[in-house]
Amino acid sequence: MSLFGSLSISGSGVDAAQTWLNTIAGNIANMNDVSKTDQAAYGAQAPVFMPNAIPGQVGDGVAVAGIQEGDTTGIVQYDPTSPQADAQGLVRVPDVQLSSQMVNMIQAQTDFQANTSALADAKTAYQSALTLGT
Amino acid sequence: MVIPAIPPIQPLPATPTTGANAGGGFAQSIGNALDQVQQTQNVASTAEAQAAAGQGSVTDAMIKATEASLQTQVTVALVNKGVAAFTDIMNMQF
Repeated sequence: MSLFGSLSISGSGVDAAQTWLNTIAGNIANMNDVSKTDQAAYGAQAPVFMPNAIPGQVGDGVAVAGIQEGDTTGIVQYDPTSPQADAQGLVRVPDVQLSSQMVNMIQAQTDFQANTSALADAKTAYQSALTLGT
Repeated sequence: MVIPAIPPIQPLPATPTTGANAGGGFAQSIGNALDQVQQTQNVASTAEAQAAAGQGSVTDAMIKATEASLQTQVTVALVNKGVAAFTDIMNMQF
């Protein structure tokens, strides 16, 4: 829709922020995963954002180009009570820090709010254009 | 001397059907605009139904609903302006 272009641009931004929030939620949910030492650990996921041109319109939307998976080496730690522990009592846990994930989440939330705010302002601007001459 | 090949016939551009100059006058313009509003609202309804069924995204539905609302407001504002112009002419004193 070229008439209300900034609405679809902000919409793509909201969608991208939603994807970011989803990956962070997944990272936090899998933070306590335990795997065997001969297996890969959970790698923290992060979306890759790319500009996405919307045909017939000035200004690019944003698109998620892909999901980048972090280091699956993880951290080997001693936990002999775990059912996943090997002969030495070692397990592999993901190298996901809750603090950095929470900071990322603040960023993603601000991203989401910024896009919805831009969308609301664009709507107000369009509506004020309709009051021209009255 | 090389004679260049005759280029293929290009199809005629499609006749514009919307706008005040389409030949139908004011009523035709309003009709076309309202048709488009209806189409946008149908798109919004579909998106809302999908979101409610858990198949689409809620943000997408909200944005389509906002677009439909704005387009309705634009059309109503333009129709009101046009009707006001007609009323002014009709009330002309001779």
